[in-house]
Amino acid sequence: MPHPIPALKQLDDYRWEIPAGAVPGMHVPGRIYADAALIAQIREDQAVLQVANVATLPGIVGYSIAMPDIHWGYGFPIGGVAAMDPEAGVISPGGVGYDINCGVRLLATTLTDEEIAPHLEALAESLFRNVPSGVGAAGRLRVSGSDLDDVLRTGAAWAVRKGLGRAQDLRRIEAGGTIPGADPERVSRRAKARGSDQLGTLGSGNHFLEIQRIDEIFDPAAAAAFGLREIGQVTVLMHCGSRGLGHQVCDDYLAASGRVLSKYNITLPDRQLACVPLTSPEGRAYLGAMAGAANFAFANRQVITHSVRESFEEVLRRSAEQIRLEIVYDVAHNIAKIEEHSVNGLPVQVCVHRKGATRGFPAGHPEVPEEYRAVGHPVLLPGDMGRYSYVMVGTEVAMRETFGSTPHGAGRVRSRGDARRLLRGVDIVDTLARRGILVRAASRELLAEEATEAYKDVAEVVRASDGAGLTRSVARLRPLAVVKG
Amino acid sequence: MQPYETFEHTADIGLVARGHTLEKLFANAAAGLVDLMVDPAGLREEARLELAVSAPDREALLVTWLNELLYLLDAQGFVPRRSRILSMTDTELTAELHGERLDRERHTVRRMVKAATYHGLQVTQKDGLWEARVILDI
Repeated sequence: MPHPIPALKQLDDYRWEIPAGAVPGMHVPGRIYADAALIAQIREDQAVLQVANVATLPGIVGYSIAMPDIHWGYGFPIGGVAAMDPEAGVISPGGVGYDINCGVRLLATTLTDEEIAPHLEALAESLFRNVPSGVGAAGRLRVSGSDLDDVLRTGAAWAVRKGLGRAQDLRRIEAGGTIPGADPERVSRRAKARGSDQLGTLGSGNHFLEIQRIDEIFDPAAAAAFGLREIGQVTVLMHCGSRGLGHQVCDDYLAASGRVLSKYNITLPDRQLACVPLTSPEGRAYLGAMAGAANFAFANRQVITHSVRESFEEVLRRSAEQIRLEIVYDVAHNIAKIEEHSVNGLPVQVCVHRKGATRGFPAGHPEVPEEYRAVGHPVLLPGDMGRYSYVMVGTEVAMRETFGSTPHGAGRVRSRGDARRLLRGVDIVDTLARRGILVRAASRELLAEEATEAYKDVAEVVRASDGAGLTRSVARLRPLAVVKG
Repeated sequence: MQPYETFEHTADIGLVARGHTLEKLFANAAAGLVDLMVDPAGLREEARLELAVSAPDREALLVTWLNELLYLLDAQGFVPRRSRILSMTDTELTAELHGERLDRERHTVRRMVKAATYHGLQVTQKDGLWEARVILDI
């Protein structure tokens, strides 16, 4: 039976601690960022226990951290952050998750909502056709052999070299769209077989592609730096990852890690937390494979970006350059990265696992693109398809307390089954259309599970995150048209 | 006995499968997995595939078996309507699958399952009935 849910100690309005010792074997305390209203929901499932479980992993530094959008995951909580010591610490394939480098990319246009209103239906239709989604979707590209190895090695840069993007796209992607150290040899033949026709596809579940309008600007200076100039300006947001290739890499290395736990004297409260020392051959192999899968995801979002540009050109009969459609930013929210942080005032290297958390490096950080250096890089926080998404920016507080990590979304409040039962007989497409949101979806059943009613209001997450000082809100985006799997 | 049903998990989906034998349990779990992704009523038995998987123990074998089916869907577009376990121990099994290639024009697709996970994984036997619980990443 699962261990009882640990008690929480409130530190201030937005910080809650799980004392080390709440679960046997915790090396560090747990730290949850949330307000009183969110914490009441968070306590309802096993997410708190999962934060405590992560604190038992060898070599964890500081705290086992959870963002305000934390919810029950498998192994790590969704919304979990754990930094590991590079010598004594571990890497956990489950702590990155099956969808390696699942992430979000925002594009900005020069168009206004009024300009595209007459074309919205055609645009949604074209995007639905050009960006395949849902079960068994295949893209237009077939990539295998040395070409696929190139994708794994160089990510979005591969797509740009193939003419599927602009050279300046790369600077607006986390890590320039290429995670260094990728080793295609460490990605199994099976993983490559799964991914070979999936570049340019959205997937299913909570993945989406949206046309949106800027609906509010909270920080005009930061918004202007990001190219988000005025209310009504049209943006495009996509949420997707490394597809079957990434899922297979995770599965391969979870099994491999599980087999060598006793060799490294690792005991775990949950099998899904299987991990290996960062310095071990198995750990290095996973890092090489994970970087490859992460690059595949960057390439995937790059190919989708190209398809989006083609759709706008086809429907509006204007060149994509003319309406800009340029990348505002692209951030990963399922990944582990070796980064430099300061712990107790000393610079240290750590391996930061972000499982449903977004990197949010603030102003002045060398990894922030030059044009954003005075502001920090954008943090993209998608909400549900009936409400809105946020653009935010990370802060020094996040740098100090959460290894530069910020939330990644709304977090679910209803299970898929509950959402389906609640919405039985409701025509989601029609309901959203009456609120001015067009939806094209591969599966009607999935739509109910992904409806507004299934999610927390992402504004609650924003309030807690801004309240704790981890982020600053920059702008809010409202969906006009949504493509779903 | 319901051969399979789902249970609630906040973000993902829990699958419960049952069977009077381990072989039936594994076949029913496969049917439950397929049912989540494609309406099985529209599936035909046009092709037969044989496969073998192995894992360190019985629970891991279930995860490996289900993930093999997800691999086949991605890599070959194959969806089984029915599966039969030909032989099994706690650490390996061979099975035959009867199904067809996914056809998005003809089949009703539901939701993609990314993977079967090890979180809260259980295979138990009570009063002659086997039951498995596995959480699927959606």
